[in-house]
Amino acid sequence: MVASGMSMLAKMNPFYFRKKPGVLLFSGIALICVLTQMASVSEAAPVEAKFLHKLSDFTHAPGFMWVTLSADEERGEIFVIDQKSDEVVIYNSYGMEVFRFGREQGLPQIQDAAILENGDILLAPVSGGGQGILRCNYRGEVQGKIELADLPAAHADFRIERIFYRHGSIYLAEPSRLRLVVIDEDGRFRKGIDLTEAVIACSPELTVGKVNEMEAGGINIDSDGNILFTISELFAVFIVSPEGEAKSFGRKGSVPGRFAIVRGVAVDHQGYIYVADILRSVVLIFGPDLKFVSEFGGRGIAPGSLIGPKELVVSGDRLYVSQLRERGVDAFRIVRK
Amino acid sequence: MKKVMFVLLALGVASLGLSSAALAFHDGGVAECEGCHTMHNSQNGSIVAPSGTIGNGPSKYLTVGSDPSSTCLSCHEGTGSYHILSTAGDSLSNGGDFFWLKTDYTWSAHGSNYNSMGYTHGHNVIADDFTLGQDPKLSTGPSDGTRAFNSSELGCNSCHDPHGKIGGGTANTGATARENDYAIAASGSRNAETQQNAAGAGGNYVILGDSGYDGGQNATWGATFTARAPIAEANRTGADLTSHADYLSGMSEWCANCHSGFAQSTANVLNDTAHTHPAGAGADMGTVAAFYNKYVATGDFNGAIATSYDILVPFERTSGTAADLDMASTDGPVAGDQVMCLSCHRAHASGFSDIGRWDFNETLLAESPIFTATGGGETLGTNAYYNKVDSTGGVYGPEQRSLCNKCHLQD
Repeated sequence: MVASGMSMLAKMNPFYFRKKPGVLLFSGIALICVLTQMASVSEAAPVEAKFLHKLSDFTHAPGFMWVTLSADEERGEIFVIDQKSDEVVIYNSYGMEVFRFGREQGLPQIQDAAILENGDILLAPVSGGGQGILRCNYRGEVQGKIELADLPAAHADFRIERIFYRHGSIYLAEPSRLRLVVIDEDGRFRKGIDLTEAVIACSPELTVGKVNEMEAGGINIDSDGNILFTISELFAVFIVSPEGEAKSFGRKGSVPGRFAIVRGVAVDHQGYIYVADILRSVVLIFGPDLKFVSEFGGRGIAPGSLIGPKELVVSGDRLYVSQLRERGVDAFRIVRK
Repeated sequence: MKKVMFVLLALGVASLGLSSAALAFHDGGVAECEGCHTMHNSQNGSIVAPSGTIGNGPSKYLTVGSDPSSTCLSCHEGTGSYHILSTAGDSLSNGGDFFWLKTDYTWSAHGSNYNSMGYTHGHNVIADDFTLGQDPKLSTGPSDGTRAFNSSELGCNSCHDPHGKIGGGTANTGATARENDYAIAASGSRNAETQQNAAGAGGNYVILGDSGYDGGQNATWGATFTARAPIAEANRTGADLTSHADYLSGMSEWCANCHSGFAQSTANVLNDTAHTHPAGAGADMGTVAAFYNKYVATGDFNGAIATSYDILVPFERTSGTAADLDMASTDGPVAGDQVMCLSCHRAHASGFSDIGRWDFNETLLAESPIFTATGGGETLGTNAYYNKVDSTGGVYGPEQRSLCNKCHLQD
């Protein structure tokens, strides 16, 4: 393709490049840059998302806005943590509400939930680390509390903002201060992770002070224990492996494949990475090689369009997207070609 | 042919340029145009804003959000750092948390029911994507009537100039040497080296509209700002004693760009025919400065100037210079410093009516209804007081009365 393009130019004036080889070099570089970018959006995507439905009950789709999402992949259920109503609302894989619990059951305000393999539910109250984590049965009835009793002094002021459960480990995240703490199911401290170090490893031009002013707009843990988080100011997604190796990707821009304001991030079981861009109103899909694959959404109210996508969660072949403007939570099917 | 080569070369260079790292969306002031605007109501072949379904027709001002404020809040929604719209009232920024606009709380006392409605808690910016609507009561901003700003047009861009112009920007043919530095030099524009000073402007404080700004192209207001953006310094990490906005001058005059008549220069309220508390230029604290410095809490007048600064009652260090601004200063005022609008009010929103920094309607702060009201609670209350007051008293103690007393010593 590049060669044919150069040939076409040469036919227009066959003596031009012979006279000015420097121009030939520059024009070649320029053409490669342009064609590379064009190719990045024109190739057939190996994976795409098809709109399925909104999460709803028998009468309507709630206009969720301030929600956090969590998945129980074992049972195919989606948990919506709605701070506006102080409720945890559970949907089955068909998008139908099957249960809800929260303030009326005497629970404190909840900001996130994680589901254990046996179906028990871990709840993170809004008040942060002081109260620890509530462990509930599948009905939301409190069975006990996991206290964070042995946190090292360096994490004494840790505040729980998000909670994830992966293979026997409970990941407590404080994305506003780029920190994580990993504990076991009894609350025993396993390790603390400073995501600031990962950011600086990927962006050595930044100072600790500068990074300390930043926060993660979205954070998630994949099934292999990799930590993924976004920082909108850096227009980037960061990935930290369980061994602590860090890498990042993403570029600022308004065209497909570029980031404006990135928020939620999620990974499917094939390693495809989904990134919500709240300003461009799209969800971008990147391959396991971190190369841009495709994006979907686009601002609007038609099925499949999105308004301010914010939180993402993957469950099986489904991707769930929360939105602004009380547009609720949309379910998409991840389709591979 | 040369044109063809030039275009290809330019495209290539532009393509490489787009790949470079950038460190902030605004890049110091105006972001890339396409970050906030859509040129033809389309994005990748899809309509951005179908007419009549989103916002005020097809994306007013061609913003990618439903309206200018929705566009701003797409990034600034959240907690901490530069975020100003949280989901729990815990964004303790200097300006305050727009969360409070959405927070009504009710309580009963003395056999009657009372409420504190969200719309009384702040500037009701219209941001449809975040379900923030127009002020249901006030059709214009409070003022003496000469410069009333329509509440139907209120948005983030009414106060902040998203394009970061100084002194009217390039279009201002009467720009002075200082104004010729019209572009904000660095992201944030809050560091001392980028603040307005005699050596040249690096940017307006928190990109507030400067003189000549039209309040966001307000169609019905028909006026422009006459007062310069204030001189102050802040960072994005919130508001506590080690990191607070420090104000030098011009804040009240700037507020009066819309709230005309509220910046009364007289230092003696008894001589003020407008019956308005003094604020701004000329409203020197005088003997009040000594009161401020003595005041620690109700019943405790043993303070000293070196430690008397209270983040709930800030003031303008008018007697100093821009170089004296210090976001970690604990110093109280001297007689030449001034009271300002923000001494009592927050700029965005607060947990209390009239955008008060504290509950103006309660005798004892620890008994503020927000702590026990339906829709309130202990956590919300302590957030509203920036962790300085709780239902048992907090840092001031359980007998703390209104913070008006920080200057007036009436307790």
